[in-house]
This record gives sequence, C-alpha cells and structure tokens, in this order.
Amino acid sequence: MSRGGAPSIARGAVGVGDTLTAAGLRTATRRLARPRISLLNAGWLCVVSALLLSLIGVASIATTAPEVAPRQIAFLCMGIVAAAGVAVVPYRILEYTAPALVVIVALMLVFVLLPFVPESIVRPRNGARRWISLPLMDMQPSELAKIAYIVALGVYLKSRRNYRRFVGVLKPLAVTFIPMALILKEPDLGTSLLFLPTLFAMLLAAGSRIRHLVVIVAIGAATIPVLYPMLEPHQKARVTALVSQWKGETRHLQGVGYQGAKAMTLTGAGGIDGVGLEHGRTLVDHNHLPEEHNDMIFAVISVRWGFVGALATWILFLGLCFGAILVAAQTNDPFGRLVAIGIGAMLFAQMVVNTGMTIGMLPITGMTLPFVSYGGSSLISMWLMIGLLLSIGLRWPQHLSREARDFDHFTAETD
Amino acid sequence: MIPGRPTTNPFQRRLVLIAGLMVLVVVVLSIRHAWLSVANGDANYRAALVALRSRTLLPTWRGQIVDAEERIVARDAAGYAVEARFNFVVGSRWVNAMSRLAAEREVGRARWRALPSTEQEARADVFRPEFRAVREAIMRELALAGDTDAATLQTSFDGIARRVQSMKAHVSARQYRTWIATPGNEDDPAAFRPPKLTEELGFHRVVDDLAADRAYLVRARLQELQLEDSIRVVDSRIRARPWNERMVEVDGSTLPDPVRYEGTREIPVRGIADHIVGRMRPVWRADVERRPYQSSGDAVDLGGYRAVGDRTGSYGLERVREDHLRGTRGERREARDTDTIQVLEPQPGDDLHLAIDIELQTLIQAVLHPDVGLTSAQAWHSNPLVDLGGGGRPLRAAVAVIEIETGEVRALVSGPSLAEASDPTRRPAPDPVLDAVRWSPLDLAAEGAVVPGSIVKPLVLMSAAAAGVSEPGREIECTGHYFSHNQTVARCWIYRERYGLTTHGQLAGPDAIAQSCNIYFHRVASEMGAERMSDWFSRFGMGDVPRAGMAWYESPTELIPGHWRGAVPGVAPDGSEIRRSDARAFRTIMLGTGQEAMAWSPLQAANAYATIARGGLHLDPTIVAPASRREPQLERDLEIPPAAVDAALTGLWRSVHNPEGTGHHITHRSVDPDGTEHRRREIIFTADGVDVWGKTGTAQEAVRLGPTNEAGALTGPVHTLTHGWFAGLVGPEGSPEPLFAIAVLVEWGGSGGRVAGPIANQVILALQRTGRLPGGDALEPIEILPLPSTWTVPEAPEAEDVASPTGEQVPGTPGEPSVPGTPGTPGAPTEVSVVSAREGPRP
Repeated sequence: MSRGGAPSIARGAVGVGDTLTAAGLRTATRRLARPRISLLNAGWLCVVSALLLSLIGVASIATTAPEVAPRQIAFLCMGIVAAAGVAVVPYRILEYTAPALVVIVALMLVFVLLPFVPESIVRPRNGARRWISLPLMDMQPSELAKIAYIVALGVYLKSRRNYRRFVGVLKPLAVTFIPMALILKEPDLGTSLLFLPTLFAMLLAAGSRIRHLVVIVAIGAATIPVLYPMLEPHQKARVTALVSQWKGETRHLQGVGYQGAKAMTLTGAGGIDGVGLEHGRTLVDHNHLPEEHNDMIFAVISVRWGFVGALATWILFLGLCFGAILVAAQTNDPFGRLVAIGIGAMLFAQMVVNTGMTIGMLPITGMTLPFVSYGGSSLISMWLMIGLLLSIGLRWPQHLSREARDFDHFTAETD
Repeated sequence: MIPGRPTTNPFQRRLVLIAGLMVLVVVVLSIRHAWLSVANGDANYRAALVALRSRTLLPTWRGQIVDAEERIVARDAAGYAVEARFNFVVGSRWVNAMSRLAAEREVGRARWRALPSTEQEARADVFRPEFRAVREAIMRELALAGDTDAATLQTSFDGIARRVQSMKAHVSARQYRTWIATPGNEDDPAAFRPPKLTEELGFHRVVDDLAADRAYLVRARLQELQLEDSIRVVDSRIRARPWNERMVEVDGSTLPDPVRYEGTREIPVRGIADHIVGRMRPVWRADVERRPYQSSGDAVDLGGYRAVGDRTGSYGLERVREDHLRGTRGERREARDTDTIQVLEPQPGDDLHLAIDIELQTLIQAVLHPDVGLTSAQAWHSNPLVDLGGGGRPLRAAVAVIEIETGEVRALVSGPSLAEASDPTRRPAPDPVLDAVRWSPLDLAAEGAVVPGSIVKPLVLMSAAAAGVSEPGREIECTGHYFSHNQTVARCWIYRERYGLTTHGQLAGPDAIAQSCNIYFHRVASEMGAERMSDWFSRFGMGDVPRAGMAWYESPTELIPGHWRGAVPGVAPDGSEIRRSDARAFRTIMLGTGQEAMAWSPLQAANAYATIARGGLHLDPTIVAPASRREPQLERDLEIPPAAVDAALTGLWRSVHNPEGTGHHITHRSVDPDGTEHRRREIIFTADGVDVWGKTGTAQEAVRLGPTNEAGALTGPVHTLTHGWFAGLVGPEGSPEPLFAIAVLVEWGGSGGRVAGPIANQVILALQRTGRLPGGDALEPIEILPLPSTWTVPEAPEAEDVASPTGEQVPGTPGEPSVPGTPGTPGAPTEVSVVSAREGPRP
C-alpha cells in the first residue's frame, strides 16, 4: 500500500492494450477508489472484546437481576444485528450524511428539553429529561449524540489542518460545548463530560500539538472552581460525599454517599477471585446496592469474580480500545482513523467514569458501563459503534483514496 | 533510523501515546481496586457480611414487684399500641399520597406515568374527600380505642408533627450552616435542600397501652381498609399495676363525730403505693450514656439502653432498683448465607420483694382521702387555715407503719398519691393566699420533713437519762412559763388566759410526756445543751439517711432541696452564752419541745418510736424484704437505761389512756337533733383488743402566705400554721411489747390530737382488718371493684350525724368538758402548743 505518495493506477485495473474510453476510465477510477474489503482486520478484536464484555454483563445481570437477563440477551442480539448492519454499509456514507445526522440528533437533544413536550413522550426520571419513550424501549438521544459527535468531529478534522494552531484547537472545543451543554441541561453531567476526552483523543490523533492540548487542559482545570458552583445541588452533594469519603468521614454514608460506600464495600468484598455466584448474589441483595444491574454492575463483577474479574474486564476494554486504535492504524482514511479513535476514546472514557465511581475514585454519576450494564438503548448504541469500527476495519481504502493523515509533513506547512 | 527496523510515523506514535495513556489509567484503576479487594478485602468482606447477619433482639421481662404477702404490685404484661406513619399524623400528606395512589391504580401504572402532572392531580382530587373521610373515621376509632376523643388525639398528632418539624428545622439549620460554608454555595442559598429525616418516613406511637380486645378490633379494621402500611398495631409491653386502683369500704362509724356517717362508704383509691413503686418512662440520653446498648463496634450489652423504644424506671423502686428489675435481652442471630440461627435466651429481671403490705397501704390511703374528712382543713381540727378561708381545703398527709421487731416498713402512705394529685377534678380551687398550702404529689411520708413538735418529748426524756443529765423520775415544777421576766414566750400550752393561767404543777417524766408539759422539757433541754440534744436526735435517726433498700432517698428531692432527710438542730452556743442571751436560750430550750430548726419525716418519726419500743435498739427501716435487700440492715444500741425506756413508754401509755393525756380524747362542739349545742368529748383510739402508746404533736411553723413576687417569693403576711402529728406504738391487748410503730402527719392540719390522732386510730383499725393485729370489725378485706370512669364526690353526711360539718369554724377548745353533754366542765386538754401566734410573738 502506498502511503503519502501520488495516486497510482493499480496493477490489473486496466489491461495493457485496452481501449480507454471515458466510461471505462470512470469505471476503472471508481473501481480503484473503492475500498478493498479485508476480512482479517483489527475490528474483529473490538467485536470479540465487546462480545465478551456483553456476556460478562449478561452473567453479572443474571447474578443480581435474573429476571431481566433474558431481555439483556435480546438487546444484545439486537445490538449485534445492528452492528452487523452498520458494518456492511460503507462507513464513508457518514461523511455525507453527517450534517443531517448532527441536525437530527441536535433536534432530539433540544426536544427532550422542551418543557411543553408531554410527559408521555419525554418522561422525567429522577428529575432528568433524558429519554424519549418508544414502543419497544426508551431511547436516549445523548447516546446517539455520542456517535453523531464523533462522526461530525471526524468530518470536521479530516479536511482541516488548522488544529495544529492553538486557535484551531479552540474551534472544535467550542463546538463540543454545544452537545455538552444540551446534555448537561437534561441533566446528565457524566455523559456530557465524555465528550472532552473524546475530543482530546481525536485532536491528538489528528495531529494537534500536545502542548496546546496541555494548555487547554490546564486552563480547564483552573476554571473548575468557577464552574463548580454551576453544578446542580445533587451533583455538588455527590462531590462533597466523595471528598468526605476520602477523608474517612462517615456522615454521608446513610445519605448521598450511601451508593458509593456500598459499591466500594462490595467491590472490595470480592477479594482476589470473588465469592462466586450464589454468595455474590446474597451479598449484593442484602447490602441493597442501588442500581446494581445498571450503573453499579462493576461492583457485581468485582464481588462475583473479585479482582481477577475486574482486571479481566479492564483488559477486555483495553482490548477493545486497542482494536479501535489498530483499526485506525490499519486504515489510511483520515475520517475512518478519526472515527475509530473517537469511538475507542469515548468507550474508554465511559468505562473509566463508571468503574472509577464504583471504586470510589470519582463522584457518582448516572453512567452505564458500556456493553455490561443493563439497558437496551445503551447496549445497542454501543454495538452500533462496534459496527462502525468493524466497517472501518473491513474497508481499506484503495489507491485513489485521499492521502492518509500522518501529519509528518504538516510541519513545513503549518509550523 | 536504524536500517531494517520498522519505522513509525507521528500518527502511529500518537496512537501509541493514546494506548499508553489508556494502559496507565487502567493501571491506576487496578491499583485502587487492589487496595479495596486485596489489601482491604477482608475488612470489606466483613462489612458486606454485616448485611447478612441479622440480629433480632428478644424481649426480656422486667422483674415483678411483690408485697410482703407475695401479692403482685407491678409486673410486665402484654399490651398493644397503635403506630401511624408521619404522613398520616400530618394528615394532608397522607390524603394526598393515598389519593394519588388510588388514581394511579385506577388508570394503570403505565398510563398514569404518561399523564401530565396537572391531569394526575385532577384525577387524584376525585379521591381526596374519600380519604379525608377515611382518616377522620380512623381517628374516631383510634380515639375510642384509646379512651379519648378525636380532638385530643388530633392534639397529640399535632404535638408529634410539631416535634418532628422542630427536629427537622434544627437538623436543616445545622446542615445549612455546613452547606453554605462550602465554597460556591453562598451564591445560591435557595439551592439548599433540607434533609429527609427518618422521623418523617417512619411510624410514631399514637395510642398506647391498648387492651388485647381493642387491639384486635383496630387491627381488623385497618386490614379491612387496607391501611396497614399507614397505621399498624404493634406489640407493646406495659407495666401493669394490679393494685394501682381499688375501691375501699370505709366504716363511717369508726370516724370522729364531726365526720361520722352510717354504715360504710366506698372510697376510690388511685395510685396505690405509686410513690414507692414508681413508674416507667422512655429512656433519656443520660440512661443511654450510663449503660449503652452498643458503645462501639459490634459489641453490645444486651441489658443496655437503646435510645429508641426502650424504657426505664422513672422514680421510686422502679428507678432505684432498675438494675435489679431490668432483665437482659435475648438475641436471635441469623446468618442468611449459611442458614444458621443462634438463639440466646433472654434473662428476666429479678423479682423485688417488698416489706410493704399493699392491702394495708391501700386501706390507709383510703383513710387519707379528703372525702373521708380527716385530711382536709376543718374547724374542729383547730386549724388556723380555716380562719384564713381554707376550710375544707385538702391537705397533704402521710402515714408510716413499721414492724418493730424487724424494722420493716409495712405501709408508707403519702396523700395525695401521684394519680390523685394529677386528677384535675380533685385539685383545690386556686387561691392567691392558700395556694402556698400545696396539695401536690410529694412523698410526704419519706421525703416531707417537717418540724416534729411534741412527739420528740419521749426522746428528750430518754436522751437526758442516757446522758446522765436528768433522771426520768425527777420532778420538775411546771410554772407555766420558762423565762421569769418574759411570760409571753416559752410558755406551757396550758398557761393561757382562757384556762385561767393554770399550770401542770409538779411533774415527773412520764406525766410530763402524757400531759405534754413544755416547761419540763424546756428545762431538760436547757440542761442538756444544744450540742447534746442535736447529737441525740441524730442517734434516733433524725437527719439520717435511710438505707436497706431505700436508697433513692439518698438523692435530694427537687421538692424540698436540702430538706429531704430531715434536719438536726444546729449546735447552739454553750450554756454561759445562753445565759447571756435569751434569744439563744430560747432556741436551745425549744429543742426540748421539737420546735426549733429541726425536721423529720413520718418514716423517721415512726422509726424513732420503734427504737423506743426496742428499748433503745435502732434498726434501719427497710421497705424491701430481706430477700431483695442490697445492703445489710444496720443496727445500733443507743444504750438507753431501761428505766428511761420504761418511763417513756409509761408516759406514752398514759398519754393515750389517762383522761389527762393529750392523746386520750378530742373535744368538739356538737349539736343534738333538737338543736341543743354542747361540747362533746370523744375517745381517740377506739379499736378493741389492742394497746396503744402514743404522743400527739402540734408543730408550729411561721409561714408567709399570699401572692408571689417576680422572684417567686411569697409576699403576703406571716401566719403561724401548725402541722398535726401523732407518733405511737400499738400491740395486742395485754402484751407488754408493741408490734408496730406508727407515725401520722397532716401538713398544716392543725391540732395533732384532733387531726392526726383519729387517722392513727384508723391505721390501727386497718392493721386489724388486715389481720396484723387482733380484733377488728367485720369488714371484709379490700375488694377489687371497678372504679367509676369519673370520680364523684360522695354526698355530704347526714345532718343529724354531724355535729360540726366540714368547714364549719369550731375554735380549738382544749381542756373542754371531759364528759359528753356536760359543757363547761374542765377536762383533759388535747392540745400541745408552744406558743400561740395570737397570744405572743416568737422571739
């Protein structure tokens, strides 16, 4: 495969002595530009990791809420089918449909916030307007927003090089605040915060200067004291509870810190290799861990399979993310690379937030563990991402594709 | 670049960087997880196991309190209580919640959740009137079950709501202070969310002590209405007092003429022995701190106190013998993971055996009931209160009965009892002047120390003999007054204008006791000196702390701080100084007649007289039977010469049996059916088959009556009122040794002989009725009769039976006719007084 050089006619595309008509040339060009299908690609690593994680999820859900495990299996099947559907479709279609996708998702994000929308359509749960009620399952626009954001950012970054400058980095950062603000308004702080590490990972992969990113992170860290008062009271209470827990205080243990404390206790109770199915179920049931089959599923994994199970989960996530990175490395399509990195970063960030809050390193947020937590909307959207990754991995651009974004030649142009 | 090695471009290096960062994050997460699961895995596992180990406490039983005849005075009994959720207590919250629930059930959950809030409220509105009506109906039924009315119950509910809301305000304020101090919160105080208290979510006890049948009906009704989630009937242990209330027949024919009536009358007696037995109360923080159920960690004291739902003795024996009576809970430990159950059986508390005879206690308490007429201010009692408009006013009274041989207290009665004093229908009408004469639930018999008056005279005689100061047979001439230069103070009670300034003449010790000659005992006291007098009063138990099961008296009562154990007189100057100061001399000689800065309780008085009967052997009085006693009963020999004891007993005998004795009879004005008015003499002690030794005492005390100022001090004029005392001994007729010592006190009651003497006679009749003394009338022992729901005042006695109706002013007339129907004949006086407020001021 040629990298960085001028496009060339592939061997065998046009035979020697063939009469080269205009129509034939167009056909030959299309054929040369058509991605080559490569069944042996890193996308399967993502598929396998996601599948194993999903199975761990089903087993964990069956530990504490066996009655919903069949539904999760059904969701998994739907997710796999959806992923397969996405995988067979050339992902570059998204390049052209990205604007429409962004508009649709943005409208959906605004829609759930509209106060006059009847509660039969947008039913608040625990004070949050995140779900649109559908016949089979409720849908979270923010889940679709993750995909749309990655696609839109990929489209934006693939055709530009100004993010090598500091100002150029600020533009996608500013755009990122739009979905973040809408999702934060739901409110869903955890999901909205996933966009920032995704942005930084994609900028890093796209070739932004590291020092620019570091400066932005530093500025962001410096503005935390200013931004903190803007949080909702319950969000601040969770932060307070976490800090209190770090200090060894017990005053929030029966209140806002209850969920975090129970999750930590059960996580630690699993020891090295866990307590097994029955005892684990007993421990989780009688400790009344809230959201045990959903946001707190990692605690169930830990108590059932112990540190080994948790480590295996993290390794599978690393495998998934490494698969996404390898997919990005294998393809020379800038859009595909950026989308692959974006998906890997998004999933990894969500995993870190979820497992971090379970083990008491981050404040409690309503965040599912990808592929593992119970929930159709979340699981299917995750598998859509896997399908997208597989689609990228399956299609290696041919000789007439756009040059790869290796940005080692950016220096002369932009610096 | 090294030839042959694969090269990487910047993009690939960035990917490696991203992958490296991911690995780094996972390593950090893993370290944290390892800290939880490997380093602290055991601790977290134990913490998680706590939820699997259920610990159920098994209730224990408090020990029974039984009397000297093994009759149960207090015991634990099964009972029931009604508890309601806080939203039901508040009312509107419950109606709202139930209406919404009903509306949701009507439309289905899925549809309900799809409805907008406004429509949900509209649908719930349909059910609100119905649930309001249900709540009102339940309130009425609960009120009926709890023997109250709905308005009273609602008041109770309001109190619960106020208490929880006050608690919430307190907790919220505290949390708000912490919250607002957090950086960033000060800009938006409205963002603070008050906490939800457990008390807002849980149940509150609204009806207590529910009988089983009513509890069943309430529970059935709640099940019928499907309200068990809001209101529930729970098991509740109650402290039953089988002898708390009784109806007692009092024989009117044994009463003094002014209050005598035909046949018997039923007197409702409430709160029997409640001063002694005490009551239960919810635990306070101090109780939990003293003996916590769980102090730290998992270690528990199964006998310890829990802050919620636990009870302890409030006062009396329930309080003092708390550790004796309180049992140890059992425990049922269940491990859900291993399906193992361990049961530690509860240990019931020990029974407490009293020396008290509860039947005797009941009979005596009936006698002290104001309706009988012996403990209310009456003219024939020579009570100065009557002149102040206090005729008929109920007075506090007390009786102590001690078995001489053992020192065991067979009855210790204070009237009114706590239950009687808390009955608003019995409370005297407010009076700005007379309210200082309190009718409150003081345990007068044990804690109400007052000036003893003349009942100390036998002790003075014995003390002087033991000290070698004055032989009991020594004769002293009663000159009518002690100071030759001042005849208005320190006079003998008989030395009055209306008696012709007569005197007792030459008297020996026994007759001085019998006739209660003041001059004799002034003289002896002067020769003894204040220091020796004080010392001897102490030896007889004045100012002493009763022990042997009566330890609660070791703590001062709040009603008479510092005065509770009685007070021995202070040490006065020596004789030479006395001679230089009439005032100081006056104080010393007054000790001989029990009229100085000294005080004791009826219990101490009875025990001092029991000491006389034992020939000078002092025993600690004990209210607890030997089986339940914590401390040994101490005894000490006062080493009193037998001749002095004999002289004292002779004097006490003559006081009751000789017409000249102050305890022999009372005289009062009587009106015959034909309207003829004449003076009538009545023998005080009428019981057959017994011998009585006794001494009356009328102890003066200067009291300021009237309204109080801002500091709470009384501001009215000073009046001299008198406490009526009788102390004596009683035994079978012909027996040289009495069996029981009796002390009677009627606070502000007037003449001791007139007010306390007839009560002592009733006590003796009660001793006979309970079989503790031979003889007695035909009345059956106390029957358990249902008490009327509201107390009714018995009708006034028939006019022809009452010569001096209650409240009628009959001036005290000591020395009046000794023969009934012969007015004007000089007779034996019944009164002993030191100085009359009308006849001469105190120095």
